[in-house]
Amino acid sequence: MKIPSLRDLAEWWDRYWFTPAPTVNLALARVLAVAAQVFWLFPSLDEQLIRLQSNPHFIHPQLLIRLVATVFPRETWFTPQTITVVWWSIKVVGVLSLVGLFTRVVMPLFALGSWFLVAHRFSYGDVHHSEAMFAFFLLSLSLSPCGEDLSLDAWRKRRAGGAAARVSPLARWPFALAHLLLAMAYLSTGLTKVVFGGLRWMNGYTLQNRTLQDALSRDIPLGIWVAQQHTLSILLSVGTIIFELGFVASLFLPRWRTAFFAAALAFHVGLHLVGGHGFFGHMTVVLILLICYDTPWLRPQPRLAPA
Amino acid sequence: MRYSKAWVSLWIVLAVGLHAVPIFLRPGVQQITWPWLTWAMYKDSRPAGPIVGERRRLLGVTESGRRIRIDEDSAGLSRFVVNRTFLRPWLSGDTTAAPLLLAQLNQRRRDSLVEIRLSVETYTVTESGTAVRKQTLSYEPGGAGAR
Repeated sequence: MKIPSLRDLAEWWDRYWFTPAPTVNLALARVLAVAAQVFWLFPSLDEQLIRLQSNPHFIHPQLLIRLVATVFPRETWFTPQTITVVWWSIKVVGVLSLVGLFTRVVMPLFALGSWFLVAHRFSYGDVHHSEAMFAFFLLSLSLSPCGEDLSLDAWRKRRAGGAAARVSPLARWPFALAHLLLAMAYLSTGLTKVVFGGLRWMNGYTLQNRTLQDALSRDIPLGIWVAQQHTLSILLSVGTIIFELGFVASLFLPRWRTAFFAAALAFHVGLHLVGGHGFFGHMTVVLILLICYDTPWLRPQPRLAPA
Repeated sequence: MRYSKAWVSLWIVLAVGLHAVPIFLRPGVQQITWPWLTWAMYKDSRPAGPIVGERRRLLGVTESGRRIRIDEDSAGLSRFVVNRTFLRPWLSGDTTAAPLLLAQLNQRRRDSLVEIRLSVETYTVTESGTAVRKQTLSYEPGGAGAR
């Protein structure tokens, strides 16, 4: 067997991440992701302030918050006034990112600002997974040419007689990275279930127990009903393991990618309806991948020259 | 372009590679590396047998005599932390948990709470059906303590 040379690996890396792709896909992803964050997933200001004011100090500060607090100490900088100003500033750069004005500057600020707010929220004793994938995707978008289309920047460039790039080798990698991270997360979740829980994880009782606890604490009648259905719980457990361990195959089966993403979306909608697990960030990323990642309906169209 | 690709490649390597950090960093302790996290939630299994779940409700009486349902988030902590830090210890007989919870809840309230009640409905699902058991604990400072 031939061992690939460094040059071969570099070529493979370049092909995998930097195959030229239309910038309109990326631009649509920017619009969808930023709109979702600004109008739906944005951390609530009330929650930020309540946590800040009810606790004299952080409980388990996230590394990002530790880093910020090293430069801006909590006692002097983490005040309701500062957090309110920061929150509104992030909201404003979010709106600018949405319309694509000064995208190269505002988009990274928006992504990092969103990271800051979520990390602050998770510095008071608990941390959840629901925002993580979306956070990676937002920051990836901000490092890509996502303002080259569907943006005021592109419109200004055209008016000035320039032409925004319609295809770019940097227009595909944010989707490929989100796909890879999703596959890693599902594989990791599935593997830990099999390694720590064993085959017993699929005995039905495990899922019934989890579902009953989640559904009761969140008052979800459908979940309470599912928790009382043993056979259905066995089927759902087996389905969960197959999905979580099998999703990684979508990395190697590009033709089936859409089906895998649709299954992921259905999986998260199901988790939400039955157990109240609000993985809305995941759902948004999966939906964006479904709509924008190498999809045939988003091909760059010839554009008329400006008058 | 080559320069951009180098930076993007670095970000890709970091985004993927740093997922190894939380696995090695203080395993089993609260994760502090968000958004780089371990994805080991719901990993444990349980043997066959009755399915048991609890519905907990926190209620309170204010200084002005109003009876209210308390949203755990008003403690300035998430529902999970309130459960872990106060409710579970209170249910298991820790007499310091209820006074601490009351103090935490009263920090930002104008109409202070003078009594808190924890109502618990325990559902047990077996092959023969579902049974519900109810239990209420209450705490009033200066009263007989948490009960």
